[in-house]
Amino acid sequence: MKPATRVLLIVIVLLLFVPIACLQEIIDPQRHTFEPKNLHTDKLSALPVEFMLGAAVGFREAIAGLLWVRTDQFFHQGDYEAIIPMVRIITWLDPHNVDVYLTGAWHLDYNFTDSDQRSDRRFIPYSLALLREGIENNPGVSDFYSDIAFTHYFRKLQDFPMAIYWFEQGAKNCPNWDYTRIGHGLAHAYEATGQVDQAIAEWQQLVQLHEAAYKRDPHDTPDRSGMQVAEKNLHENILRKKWRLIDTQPPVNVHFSAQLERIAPMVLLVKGTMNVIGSKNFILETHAHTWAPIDGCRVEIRLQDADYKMPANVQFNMSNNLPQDVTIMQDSISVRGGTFDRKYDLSKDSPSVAGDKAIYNFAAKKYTVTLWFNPGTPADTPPDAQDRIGWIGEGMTDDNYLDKSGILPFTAGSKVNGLRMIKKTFYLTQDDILGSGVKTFN
Amino acid sequence: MSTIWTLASGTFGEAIRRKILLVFLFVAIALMVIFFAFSEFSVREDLTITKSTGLGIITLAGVFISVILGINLIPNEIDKRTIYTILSKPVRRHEFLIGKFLGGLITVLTNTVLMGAVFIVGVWIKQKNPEWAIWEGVLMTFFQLMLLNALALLFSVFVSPFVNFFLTFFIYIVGSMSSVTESLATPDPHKSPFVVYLFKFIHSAIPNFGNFNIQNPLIYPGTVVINMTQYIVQNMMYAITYTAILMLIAILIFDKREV
Repeated sequence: MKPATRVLLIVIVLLLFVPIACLQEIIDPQRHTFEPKNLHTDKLSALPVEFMLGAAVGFREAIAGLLWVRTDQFFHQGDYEAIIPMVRIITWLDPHNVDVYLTGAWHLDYNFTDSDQRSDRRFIPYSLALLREGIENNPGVSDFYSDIAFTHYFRKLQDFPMAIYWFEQGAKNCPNWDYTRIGHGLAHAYEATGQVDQAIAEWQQLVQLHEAAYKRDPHDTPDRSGMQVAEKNLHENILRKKWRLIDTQPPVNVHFSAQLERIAPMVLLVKGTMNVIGSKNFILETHAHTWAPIDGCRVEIRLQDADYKMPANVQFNMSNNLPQDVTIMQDSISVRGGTFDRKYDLSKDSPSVAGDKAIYNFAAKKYTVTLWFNPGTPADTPPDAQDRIGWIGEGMTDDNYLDKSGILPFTAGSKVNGLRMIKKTFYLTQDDILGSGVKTFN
Repeated sequence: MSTIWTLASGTFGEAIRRKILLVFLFVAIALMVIFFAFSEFSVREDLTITKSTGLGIITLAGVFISVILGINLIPNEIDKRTIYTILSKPVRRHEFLIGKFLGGLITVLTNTVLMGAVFIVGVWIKQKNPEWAIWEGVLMTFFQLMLLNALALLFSVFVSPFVNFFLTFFIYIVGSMSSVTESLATPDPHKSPFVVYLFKFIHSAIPNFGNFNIQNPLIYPGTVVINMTQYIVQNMMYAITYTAILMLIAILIFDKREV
């Protein structure tokens, strides 16, 4: 080879590295749509070497799948702590494995419980973080939106405006959004915030959407039953809107009272009264009904560190750094015969009994115990009670504890306009909870 | 050109005589095993693991074929002294190298196509409908193997097959971890700028074999890749350009080498 040819070839080689670097710059962002991102060495070190190498040479999804099978075994063995790092590794390896995100978030929401099966609320921010990460990696999958919205809508947060936000995001971002899980959820969340006209419009739209889907595929059983449910709810909403406008006036006084007693260290007794009037045998078509005291409402109760606010933007990590010094207990108490009462023995889950697995640490100096009744919460207020007290308490009043601020308790300031709820807060010190002997708080 | 083709077909013929296609048989058996191995899992898990493992096995088998072929292409000719006979004829050194490379590539292509075909038929039978998109994964695997073959051939002109084996595999593994090298090259207040620039260089200069692993969008059709065809074409261009670089370097070194 002539020297000049050699020089030319060397120059060509060097020049060819320019398009290579450019192509890599173009390829990298596209690869991120289906590869792990925000990769840090702490995630890598968590992965055994053989898995890391396997993942590197093209077995990423296979390894993630096999780890998920192993995770299922942990679940059946009751080894719940081991599941969290597994979910972290699997969703890192395979950011499109929808089941892992959803099951992982459900696991964080429901499976860590105290001795009386009340869930450990400290996990909820991490569950939400996992679902948000799922949405970031899979923005077009409606399951994520319905699950994060449901976490806000139902038992866990009862933050209905945020539930509406996530349901609406799901309908907006997912071309194939689930009419039942997203659409029905959205309509119910509108009902829970007293936005009855929006709820009716949503049910009307859902009837059409289900019908169109069912006509396209007559074997589509979910859409057929979804259409029947939407038709029924539409019909009921229209009639309820009409009757509740009349029936909720004048507001009924529920005469709420509540008392809190410490009967032993970390053992609390809550009791009180709430007289809710509701309908017996309401026939929506004819408006035939009888008003009477009814059972079935539930009063929410939450004990927590006085200064605790749910962290908004945590990341779902291997260990999650669960705040060990934070105490949160939430429950709901059913009202029967106009009274409610429940004993909470939190000592069973205190550090002295449960050790490292303690949920109630009582490390803070000050606590609040809040009792509230939100007539818009579907889990706390049956429809026959709402027939009298209204969608969001417009037919309800109380001499002492009526809260008209509209701010939903323990949310990041979510507000429902026109909401009238009952709310009473007790302020306790650490000594009040840990002390011995009987002590009553009013 | 005819010289190159003669050398390529000779190399392919020799590979066939050395029963390299038997690898395909073993892979086919392995693929058949995985089609039944995960049936106790849920349907979705079963298909995810089957597809990922299947594509992974094809890649891994192809990697071994490419490396073992690539590291021996030139040293074999030198050891058996057949290179003297070839180079004494009107065959230029670069023609010899390109011919050997193409012969190896045809062997890799034949194996990859056969393995891909068995896999596609298996998935078809398992999920009761054909999934032609798997060919995209097989195509990317082939271009990945082309690059690897060129890398092994480059090293084979100046190091022993033993050293070449480990060197090629080392670069393959580093190059497969594109996500890691890219992440390490991202500026961070806790990282030294030297480390950042070092990994930026590694990420840009080392062949990124990780670019070609597109199993994820094949397993999850809902995955949003802005334009899959464009992405595949860009990766093909990357593989061809990088292969050209490696072949040019190999030609430059081989031209100076005493045989």
